[in-house]
Amino acid sequence: MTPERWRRIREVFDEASGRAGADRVLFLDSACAADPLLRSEVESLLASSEAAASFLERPAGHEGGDRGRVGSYEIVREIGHGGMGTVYLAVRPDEFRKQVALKIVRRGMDTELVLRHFRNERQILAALEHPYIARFLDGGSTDDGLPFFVMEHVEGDPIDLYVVARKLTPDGCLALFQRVCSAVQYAHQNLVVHRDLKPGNILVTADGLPKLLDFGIAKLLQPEGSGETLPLTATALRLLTPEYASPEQIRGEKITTASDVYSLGVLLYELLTGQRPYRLASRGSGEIVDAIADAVLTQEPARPSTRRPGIHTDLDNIVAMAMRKEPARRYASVAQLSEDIGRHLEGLPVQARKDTFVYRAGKFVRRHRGGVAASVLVALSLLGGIAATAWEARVARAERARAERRFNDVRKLANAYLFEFHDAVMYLPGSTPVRQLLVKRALEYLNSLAQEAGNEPALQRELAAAYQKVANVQGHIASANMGDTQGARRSYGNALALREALVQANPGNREDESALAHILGQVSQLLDSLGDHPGSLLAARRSVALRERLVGSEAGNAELQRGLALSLHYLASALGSSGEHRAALESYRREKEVFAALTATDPASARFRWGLACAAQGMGAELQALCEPGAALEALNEAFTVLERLAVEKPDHASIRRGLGESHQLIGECRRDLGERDAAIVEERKALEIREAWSARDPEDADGRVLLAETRSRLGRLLVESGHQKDGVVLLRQAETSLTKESAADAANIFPRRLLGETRSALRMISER
Amino acid sequence: MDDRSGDTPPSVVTQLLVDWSRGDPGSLHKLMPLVYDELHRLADRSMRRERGSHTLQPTAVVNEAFLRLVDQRVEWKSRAQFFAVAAQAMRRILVDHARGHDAAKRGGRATRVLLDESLGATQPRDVDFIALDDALDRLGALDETQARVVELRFFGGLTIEETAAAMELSPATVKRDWSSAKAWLFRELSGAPR
Repeated sequence: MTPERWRRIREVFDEASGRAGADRVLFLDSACAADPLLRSEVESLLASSEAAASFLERPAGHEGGDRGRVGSYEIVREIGHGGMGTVYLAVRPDEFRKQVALKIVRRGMDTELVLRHFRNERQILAALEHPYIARFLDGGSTDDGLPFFVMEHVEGDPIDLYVVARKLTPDGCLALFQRVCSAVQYAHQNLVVHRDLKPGNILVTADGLPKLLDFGIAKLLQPEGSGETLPLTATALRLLTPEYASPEQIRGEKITTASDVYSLGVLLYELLTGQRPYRLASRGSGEIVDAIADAVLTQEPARPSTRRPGIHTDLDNIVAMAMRKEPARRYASVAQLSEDIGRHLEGLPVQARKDTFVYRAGKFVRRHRGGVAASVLVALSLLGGIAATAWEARVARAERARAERRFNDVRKLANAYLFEFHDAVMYLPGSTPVRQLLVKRALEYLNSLAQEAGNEPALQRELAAAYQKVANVQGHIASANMGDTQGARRSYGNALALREALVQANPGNREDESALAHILGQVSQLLDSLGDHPGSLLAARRSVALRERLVGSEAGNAELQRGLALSLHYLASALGSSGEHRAALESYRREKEVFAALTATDPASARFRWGLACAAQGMGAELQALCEPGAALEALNEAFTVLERLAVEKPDHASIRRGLGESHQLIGECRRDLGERDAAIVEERKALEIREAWSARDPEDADGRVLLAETRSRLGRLLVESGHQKDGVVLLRQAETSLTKESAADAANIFPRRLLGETRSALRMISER
Repeated sequence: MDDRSGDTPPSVVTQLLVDWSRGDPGSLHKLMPLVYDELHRLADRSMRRERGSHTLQPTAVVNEAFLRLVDQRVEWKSRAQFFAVAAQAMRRILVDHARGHDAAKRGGRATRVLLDESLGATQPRDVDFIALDDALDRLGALDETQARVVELRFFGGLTIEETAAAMELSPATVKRDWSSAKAWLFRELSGAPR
């Protein structure tokens, strides 16, 4: 077949597809009169086309078929799917058999990013209760862990079709539009921007009530400057039709409630005139999208009254004001837009006038929420912890009198426990239970003192330090701990609350600020292990910001610089967990620069070299995640050299031993990625040796046990891949047993669970072979 | 607060997309391998790491690559072009993978399939990627545009409207191209008589 021939076949096929029955036959008769081969070709394609109705309609990799049952809901059929989820019509099989819409993350789409978006939407919807917003009914997860939520099922027509079908008058359109406004305004009051307002997302029921749908790319308004901790714009996940997108959306700039005002303006334009605002001179097949985007940015649309007779010039002005290119010159809120329409309907003068806008930018300034709000968010993440902790005020009155007399003695003792005894044993292998005991005892003393001492800052500082130490022993992720992540959450919460209060009460006190930055970093790591990545990023960013300011206030202070480097490490680690490996790598790189500079000034300092090794190791891990094993190996080897040297100087230092184990493990993974499986096995065996020895010396260290299981699992898989199936399976089974125990004991911690999943699926694949 | 995201320089990929939209055809040749590598890596990683799940959603991978590689401030046109390139790369990855599996099966080395490298878990049962790939090549010889439409729709997971945007066609044209292409491919793959 030649391209020319195919073009001819297509022409006839296209035309015939649009016809049916006798009409089609007649058309084929005439079109193929002189060419019977053409006719048989087209007929064969038409038959094939009918059979191929669903062929290729689901993109590669999409699940076929319905899911049958989700939670307690019966799936009826699919009613739509978007970038991350599928929406089904479902019923709850009780006596009411009410129809609902059920949205579920698509299998295989459950990446961290998509889950975050999905949880975001679920959270947003659950918080919104408005007659014109599709109601959130229920949420849950499937048996295999995919989250879903259930919404009111709305039967209705897209608003543009509704208006045409019902032949609504302009005033009728306006009344309906005002209802839409009230729903959007309500969302804004709840700090939610919809970002995707268009007719397809606004259905009108048979009763004439609008329902707002699809908050899939909606966004919670963030406090100024808190960074992009909530999902990256899901807008980016899709190519949107730009016709309803505001200029700032097209330019990819910050999106605020003003963007929704703009989209509502476009919607109003269309409802009133039956046409989209931008008319393009040539509607040739090419460059439509470009032209629209260009028009949105540069053109002033024709006034609605010129498009359809009978439209009042007030409405021209109202639409124009909603659709201004500069967000600050639009209506300051959806409510103002709606009120202006109300004024028009009542025959009062409207606010929108051509060229008489004195809406200054000031009116549009978002309420400024700075660091305080960010700290509230972090505190909220920990709220469960704070509320659950009751001060153990069991000091009887008589005892208290006595304690008062001995106040200073007790305080001294507590501090000795905390800072002298504890720190002396802190890095010794096997010291975890002792540390816990010491810290617990000190905490008891301090708590009882706190009852009497009121708000004395010095005592509060000691208390905060005590909580922090308790938390570290309970579940600090990067050191030996008791595997009590929930307990750690409570203790960190207490420490953070005290530190925040101290910084507020003593502004400008650098020690307090430093301590706050420190605790924020640790909180970041804890939230990370709880799987709360946005919270983790938020805390880390605040920590970095505090420390950057501190360093700026006194250049050349090595301690402050080291603090900044540590915060950068927390940030890098939070970024890495959120899947932002490039940004994580950059943060580790900055950390390493600081430590390299510090080491240059004081080459003997083990602390600075340790920092250098940690930063290099982090870079290696990120490079490995970015599939650059060569570069990763270089960084890891650099870390290893430093660590080896440190291990000689301090043979019993817990962190250094951990670091060495990690080093071998990561180098092993890189070797494996490079295809050097034998070398990989050698490294993993070394990691195994270190971690086994460690666990034997400090069996109470839950984190050490998880790390050991991690290495067993990795080495096990490597061995299986290299044909040593029996040895590999033994290791995998050991890992499975221990991880099952660890994830049950510390259910809040996501790491053992994730490792367990990996290990089990490896075992499953072996048994299936 | 620490928010540098607003002024990072555009990535290499973004720059190439911009160059391309300004009419530099050479940028496509540089772009393709970058996108291909990233997709391959993500596909591999999503199998290897993500929560122990051994499934792969090509469209999810394409989206993730977009978020990673491209400055999110690029114009519409460049976004569209990225998806076009990514869909092409995804096709190659899936087909290469399917070919690899086939070869392994035929060569009797099935027992040595590596634990973590199997991408095949999500192949729809009813589509043979290799046969589809061959048929798509044949379709491309008849009508290049139609083959690209299929690529974007099936391997890139784009909707009709998104495909139209990416190819600078009207949605109606894409719909027509898609419809006859599907009919033709279905006939080729099902071996239906002409």
